[in-house]
Amino acid sequence: MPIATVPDLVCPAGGLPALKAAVDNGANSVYCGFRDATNARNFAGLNFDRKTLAEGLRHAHAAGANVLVAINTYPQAGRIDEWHRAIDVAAELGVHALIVADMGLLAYASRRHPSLRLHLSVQGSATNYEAINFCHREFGVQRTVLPRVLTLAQVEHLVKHAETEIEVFAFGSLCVMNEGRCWLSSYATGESPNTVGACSPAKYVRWDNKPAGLEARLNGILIDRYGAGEKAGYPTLCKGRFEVSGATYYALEEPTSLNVLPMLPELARIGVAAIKVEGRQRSPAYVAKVTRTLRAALDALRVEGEDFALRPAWQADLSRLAEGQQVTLGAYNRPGGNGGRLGNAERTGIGSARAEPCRCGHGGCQGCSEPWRPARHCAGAAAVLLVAHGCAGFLCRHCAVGGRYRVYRRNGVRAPPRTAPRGLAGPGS
Amino acid sequence: MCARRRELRREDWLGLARDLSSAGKQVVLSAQVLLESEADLRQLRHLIDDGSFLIEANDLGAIGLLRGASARVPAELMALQRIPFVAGPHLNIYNEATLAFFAGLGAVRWVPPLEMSRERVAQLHAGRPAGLATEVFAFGRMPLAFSARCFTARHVGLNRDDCEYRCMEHPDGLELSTREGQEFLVINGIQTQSARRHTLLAEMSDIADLNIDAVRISPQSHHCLEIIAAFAAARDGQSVTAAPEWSPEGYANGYWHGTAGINLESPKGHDVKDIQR
Repeated sequence: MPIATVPDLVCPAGGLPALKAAVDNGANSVYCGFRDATNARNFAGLNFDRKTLAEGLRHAHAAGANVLVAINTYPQAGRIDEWHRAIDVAAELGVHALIVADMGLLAYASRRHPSLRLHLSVQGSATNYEAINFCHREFGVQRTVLPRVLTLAQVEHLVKHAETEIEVFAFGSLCVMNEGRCWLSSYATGESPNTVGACSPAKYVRWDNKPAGLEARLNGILIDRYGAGEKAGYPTLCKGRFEVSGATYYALEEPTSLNVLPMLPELARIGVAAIKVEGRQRSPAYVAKVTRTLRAALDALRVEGEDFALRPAWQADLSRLAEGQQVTLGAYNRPGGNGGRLGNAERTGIGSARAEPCRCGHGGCQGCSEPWRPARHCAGAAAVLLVAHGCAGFLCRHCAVGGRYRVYRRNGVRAPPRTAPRGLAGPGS
Repeated sequence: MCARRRELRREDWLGLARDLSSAGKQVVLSAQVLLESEADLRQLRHLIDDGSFLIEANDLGAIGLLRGASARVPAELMALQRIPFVAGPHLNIYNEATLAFFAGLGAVRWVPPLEMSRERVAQLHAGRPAGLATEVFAFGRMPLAFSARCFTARHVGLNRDDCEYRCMEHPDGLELSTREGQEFLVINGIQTQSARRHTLLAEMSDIADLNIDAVRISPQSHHCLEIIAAFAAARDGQSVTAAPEWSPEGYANGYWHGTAGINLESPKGHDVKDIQR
């Protein structure tokens, strides 16, 4: 049975080509920012000026898509005018909404442009309905983008009690910190998302080929070292390998991507207004592929409703685009868990599924977050055991789609995965 | 929600606060940075309703509750409802407009984000709304990031909800070093902190010259009283230096001097020896 509404698809545009790629592949909205410190993706060679934004708006409007402009850093003392100008230009060009984090800017925008729609940025760190409703009452905020730290149940509770629409991240690099309140980047480099609009800025990154391996440094601090055959990743501070009590592992976060595809029906059911794709720093080709895949999934969900079935091809496509070619359901699927810890545990392959859930936090199926009940969900041959990050996780029959997810094994830093996981990887963060 | 937060119940916290208050201390109850569950909100509602102590808000949810949200106050009274509060370092007050906004809501004191430099703090402090006090984070491990994850439980391979309170074995957190042995960060529950302690002890005379109203010392399991005494002495113009054993990983003050937070810069124009006035 078809369902009435599915979430809007909000896609990233680091530039005009990406904006067009997103719109042409089915995004309901694209979000972008100006080429300066007013937006939290202030990377060299990216973003928009007045002329390119105007052209982007023409392209989007012709296709019936909306353009959202992120002015979501915190104006620095004495320089507020730069942020006010950005708001005024966006308003003048007729953007659909502004994505804002700073209270002073929300006050300015709501006063100066009362008819302009306001979204609370993820950098605004709203994780509870009291925060959201405060912004709604004070500034007329109409949508809130949630940090990636809440479980699906918490998101559902929020949707019920919030007076704004709720937008959640659906795909892309995973930030496990409460966004807008992370100073790790400025601790190492002096520059943070809040102040200059960039995390672990590229100008501080240095690669050194040393006998011990390829070293990735951020302002001189060793973030990770890669052995021969290991795929090196951008040294985002929280995604490096560090030593804690003699164990070297991804102590904060693994280089994985968030992918909520298996949760789409749940997100639609609980009333999430929009799902967002991270990645304004990504290529237009990447944006096109992710947008096309998620559009196909959302359209299928609209038509099929409760009969919606996850297509393995979608998951395979998204996994190929994922950071480290690994995907996770992130905090959404965290029944009290912490995300797995890569490392020491050496467990079993197919055929030795344990009746007890392992202690990593996999309370149930990693795909749909149903509690793990052998009799009901994961019984028989269709149960798939996933060995990831040193602990076993399971996919139920429904999510495993005929067992087509590849089972893989990973054993700490000494043996990085030779086979990229095709399916869901790892426990929720 | 971290179960260890329930080790001391609300009445225990309020009891401690009353004890301190009757000993002549001003007590501020600092609310959580990451309010995510209904239980978190309930706890805070009760503390605000109790009304005996000043609350430090570190999340907009706390601000919403302080404004008398949740339909407990008729809309027409909302504008009148101004419970005084402290605007904490995690409210992201980076500029004069936002500072004025929170002052308008009833903030009586504010704490700049730790990453804010002396120049910016001085600028905002000088132009602050009347009646607003400024407090600067002056000593301790810096709370750099917050997550829904408990990194301590994750380190020992346990669920956040079934963690056996393993963090009690590590009262000052677990050190996180780079792969070449640089003591870099500390994981402590849901917080990621700096390994080096931030210290503005050598900058105290400058802080006094700026007329900053208060400095904050973050507690640790050892040497806390000595540290407080040192800051009290520095405030009174005595020459004091931070002892190495207070922070075996070394010190940092880069944020205050406008560089990377991990750096240790020498105080400009105010040598430690000059503090004596």
